[in-house]
Amino acid sequence: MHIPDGYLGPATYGTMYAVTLPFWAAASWKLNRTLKAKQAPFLAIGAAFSFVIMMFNIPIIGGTTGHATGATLIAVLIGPWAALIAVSVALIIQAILFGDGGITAIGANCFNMAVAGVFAGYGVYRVVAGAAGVQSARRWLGAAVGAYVSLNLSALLTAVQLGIQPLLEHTPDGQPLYSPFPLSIAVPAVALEHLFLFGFVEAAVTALVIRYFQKNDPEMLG
Amino acid sequence: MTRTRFLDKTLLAVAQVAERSFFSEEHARMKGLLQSLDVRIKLLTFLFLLVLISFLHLPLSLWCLSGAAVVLAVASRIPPGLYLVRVWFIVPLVSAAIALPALLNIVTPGEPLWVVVTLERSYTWGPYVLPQEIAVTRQGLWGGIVFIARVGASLSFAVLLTMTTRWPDIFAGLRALLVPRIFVMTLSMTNRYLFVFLRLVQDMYRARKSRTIHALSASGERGWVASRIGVIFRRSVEMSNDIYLAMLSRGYHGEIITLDRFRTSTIDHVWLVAIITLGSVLLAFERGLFR
Repeated sequence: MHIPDGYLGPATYGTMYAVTLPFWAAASWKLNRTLKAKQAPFLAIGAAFSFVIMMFNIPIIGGTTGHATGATLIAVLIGPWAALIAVSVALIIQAILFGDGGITAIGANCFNMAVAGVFAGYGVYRVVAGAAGVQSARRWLGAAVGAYVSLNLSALLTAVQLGIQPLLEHTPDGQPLYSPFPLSIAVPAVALEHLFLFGFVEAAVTALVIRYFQKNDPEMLG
Repeated sequence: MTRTRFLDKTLLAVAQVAERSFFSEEHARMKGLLQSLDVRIKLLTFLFLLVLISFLHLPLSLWCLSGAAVVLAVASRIPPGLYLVRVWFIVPLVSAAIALPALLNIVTPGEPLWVVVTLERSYTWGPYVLPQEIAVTRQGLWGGIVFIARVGASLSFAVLLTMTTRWPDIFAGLRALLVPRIFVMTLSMTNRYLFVFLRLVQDMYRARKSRTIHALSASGERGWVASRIGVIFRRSVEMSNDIYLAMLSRGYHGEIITLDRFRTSTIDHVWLVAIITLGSVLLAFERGLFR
């Protein structure tokens, strides 16, 4: 789901930077007020945790594995605004230092996973969990549904950004200049595997971690 | 044991991150052309190059830039074989495989160049059309070539930047380019503590692997992975508090002070002028100003 350099045209990646920037600014402002001096170590450790979650290979079936993005899990554990920054920093480090995802696509990747993914997942979690107690099944159920929605929304946004490239950026005779697949192909190609496989992996891992905390470390969910 | 393959895959992923970090540091310390540039100038010019690549539309311009990147790698004492593998082995190859169907008129309609297969008739399902003659189109072929050339050229410079710049210097350079201090500090601290966590993951997985004589069910293994994520989060919270207290004890009160000492030299000015000239020439060439 990390869009590399060269897949998005300047109009799209420029717009996505412009759209994501206010969210980064709002998150920084909010965290500066709430965390104050504790902000840097808290966010840095959150970002390192986010990076590490993405490296865990999770067994699916028959020896195949997948991995989770952890956007909803982190939002549930440290709050949505801190999660926005933590996931963004993890994505920026992946792009700049490890070449996973493009530098020009940082705005788009952060919007898809750190803004839309985090807030959609956290919003669904809040709605389902409501005021339920720490040990309530609604907590892990809400996190699971939130994770499923979050990952699928991120995948859909990625697919739409890729799919609009042939419409937006082409030569007069119809030659595509960036990602060549139209929406009718990009959306099903990216969305279906997340709807039927990776969404469930993300939901399962998120629910299992919440249940682990309910059993062993409930104050982490306080 | 296919059911414990996830252990090996995670250990491999951790090892790859450590390996990437080690080799980047090693090459970044060499005395080559790009290593001698001021990090601010280097960051600015590489960002300019990445944006420039996204505005170029001719394969010739993009291949020229990829070729120039190889010359720069050699001038920066990076082994060309290693560099070419890092650039071209994964992302552009995968992109080429992804782009293959886009060469056909099923995805990119246009002037047919080569008919691959002829069906009895055409088929239509909603927005999808399977034409009677499935052919590679001129628009599809050129679109594919431009796409691969662009992805390769972008990655050429992104890899060059990380292989010739020490990671702490990248963060210091970002600070000098007016990225907010708190953001740069978070990036820098994340990078540092990331390796502490990776070591923790590696230890947990090695310990588990060394004790495994029979794999659990897939759901049992997922439960184990989830518990490890939980343990790492618990350690994260503890570490965050410890680091904060350690920072407080050293006089930190939320105001970040950095020791950034940058100085540009003649080589930086020459490099800056060369890159701006190169960009202007390529854009002028693409817009037909030399015809």
